[in-house]
Amino acid sequence: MHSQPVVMTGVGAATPLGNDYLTIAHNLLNGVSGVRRIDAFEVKDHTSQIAGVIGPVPCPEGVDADLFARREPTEQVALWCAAQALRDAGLWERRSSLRIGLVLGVAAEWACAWERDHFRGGRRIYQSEQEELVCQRVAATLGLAGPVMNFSAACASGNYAIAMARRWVELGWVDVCLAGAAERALTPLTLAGFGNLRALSRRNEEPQAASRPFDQDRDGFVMGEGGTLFVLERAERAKKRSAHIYAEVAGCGAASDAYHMVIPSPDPAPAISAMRRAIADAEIAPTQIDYVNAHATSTPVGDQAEAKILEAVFGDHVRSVSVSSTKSMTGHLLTAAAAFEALACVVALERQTAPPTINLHRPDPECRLNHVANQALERSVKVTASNSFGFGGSNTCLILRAA
Amino acid sequence: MKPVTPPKRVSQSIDADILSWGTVRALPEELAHWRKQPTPMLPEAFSPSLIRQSEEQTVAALWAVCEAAAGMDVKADAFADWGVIAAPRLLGRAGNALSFEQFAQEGPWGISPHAIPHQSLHAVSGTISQALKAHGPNFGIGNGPRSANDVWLTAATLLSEEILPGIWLVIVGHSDEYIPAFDKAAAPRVACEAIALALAPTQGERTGMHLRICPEDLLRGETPNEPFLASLPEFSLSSLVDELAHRESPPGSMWRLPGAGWIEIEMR
Repeated sequence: MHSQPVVMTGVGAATPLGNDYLTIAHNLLNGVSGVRRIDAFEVKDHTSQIAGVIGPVPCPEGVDADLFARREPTEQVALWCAAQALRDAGLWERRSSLRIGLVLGVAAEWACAWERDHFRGGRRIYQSEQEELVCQRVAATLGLAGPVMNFSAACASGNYAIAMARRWVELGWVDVCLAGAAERALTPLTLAGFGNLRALSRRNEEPQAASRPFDQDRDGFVMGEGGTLFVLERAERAKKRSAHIYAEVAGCGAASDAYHMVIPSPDPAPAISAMRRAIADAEIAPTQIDYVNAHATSTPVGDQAEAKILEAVFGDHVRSVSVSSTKSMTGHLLTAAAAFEALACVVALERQTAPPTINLHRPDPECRLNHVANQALERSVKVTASNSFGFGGSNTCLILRAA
Repeated sequence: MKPVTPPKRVSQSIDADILSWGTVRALPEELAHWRKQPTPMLPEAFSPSLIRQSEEQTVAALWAVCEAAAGMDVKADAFADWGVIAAPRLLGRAGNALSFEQFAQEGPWGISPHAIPHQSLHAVSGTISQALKAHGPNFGIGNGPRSANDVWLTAATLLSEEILPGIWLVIVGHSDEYIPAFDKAAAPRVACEAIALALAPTQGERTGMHLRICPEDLLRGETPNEPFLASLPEFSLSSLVDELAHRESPPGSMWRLPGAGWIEIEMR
């Protein structure tokens, strides 16, 4: 199906667990929580007052500091991730001589920009909008010459971005491609909107214990923010230039619920289909998957539904495949979730260690999985699967294989 | 439009049959009426409650899809495995302006739980996939003031994989920029326009409308035929709606996608 393997050779991230790969990997494997009480704005009237927050995003070297400071928070994240990923891949100095594409998932770019302006006393929403999209500004700032695209499939955006970028590399539309997602949507209106959907945890007195996927005492998800971008290129090219290869993008699968804009379908068939398509695309058997990064957001219904999906896909192997939800540590990064969770899978492959689900003290008996509970698990990890099931019914699965 | 001859050599093109298409250009009151009484209806009817909380662009986009589906002789589950890609323009502006007022009056409690799902970039594609009961991939594209081009590149990417039996390609936006009214002034009366194309992988000798996407600029080593490309009009939603609004006289048109080649729509 894929004539030449496409691999990940660089990564950049800004997350509640840190802004560089080594720090993130350390925190993931040590069960560190990035969830805090929100202090960026008043939250006393919000039902949920906690989130996986990121601190100030560093200005990337080579980018004008004044320009960076004036940019919207989501753009700052995307710029940091893109620049860092290119440097990590050893391509920063060569970027003007390459066709570098950018596939960026961002769902709430305008809403957040208009809202932030509104609370600063501005009237941007009532004026003609002349700005280009974040992805186009990032490409222009970094001097990227390849195609650029912004899109959204909600929480599943990162997996779609990686799939799209892989295809662009295969078609020869780019030499290398940046792919991932970014979202800094932690704003008063977004927090209120999710809160009024009754989707958020209200464990405000214990922020770091609030996100507890698969645990019987879970009561909703915790909002998070951040971004992750990867550099994708042909394996042949990467090896020729002796690039460090994190992982191969082995398989991608997608299917939509076509059911409801928020509530996942009670029929697990579309999500099962997404996983099976990814497995078929990777040309592997389900039993070859060693670790699953579950979508599991810590909602009562969603986590149980995913457990049933994993049972259907893996059969008896579900007792052997290690499963965890790193949202227990970061909260739900919304549009940026899938991209970060691909990074978690990269960590598992590189460190031969599955990251844990923290706060998993009373596993839900309806979620009979081989949980990596509370502590990371050293084990052989050659192939990972990362599920992301987005609002609007976008179900995706990404298979990564050890380099 | 004056005929333009494309270059003889095209190093890469992604082709699709256009099984049907639908266009809409409607004023707010027309969209409000259609929202309550959608017609034509899809082969498997959806409830108007599906779009009760939707933005105008979502309503117009779904209307265009219904117009296109009405021109197809298909069963209720015809689109079960189809994908949906939709490119709105500055979606959510009206709803966000309303949310500012609600928040000012009532604080967090005043924010509708429908705001996020129906104002996010993926709201249009998600709603259409529900209406069609289409279980293929669905996602929103672009959403910038000038990013309608992105949807063609996305369509080409999906078509090149030869996995889906069909793709709904939808582009929607206000004909003039929609700017919410400030401080209880009269709401702007701006038309919303949409185009929906039912695309399928090319099948040999099938006659009818055909789409060709030529991403010439993206291919290393290619020297784009500058005079040819410079002669093409830049793609715009309005121009495509104008061309395809007349079903009895199908067009043959080409448009430039700046930095990404060109597209051709023709009758075969």
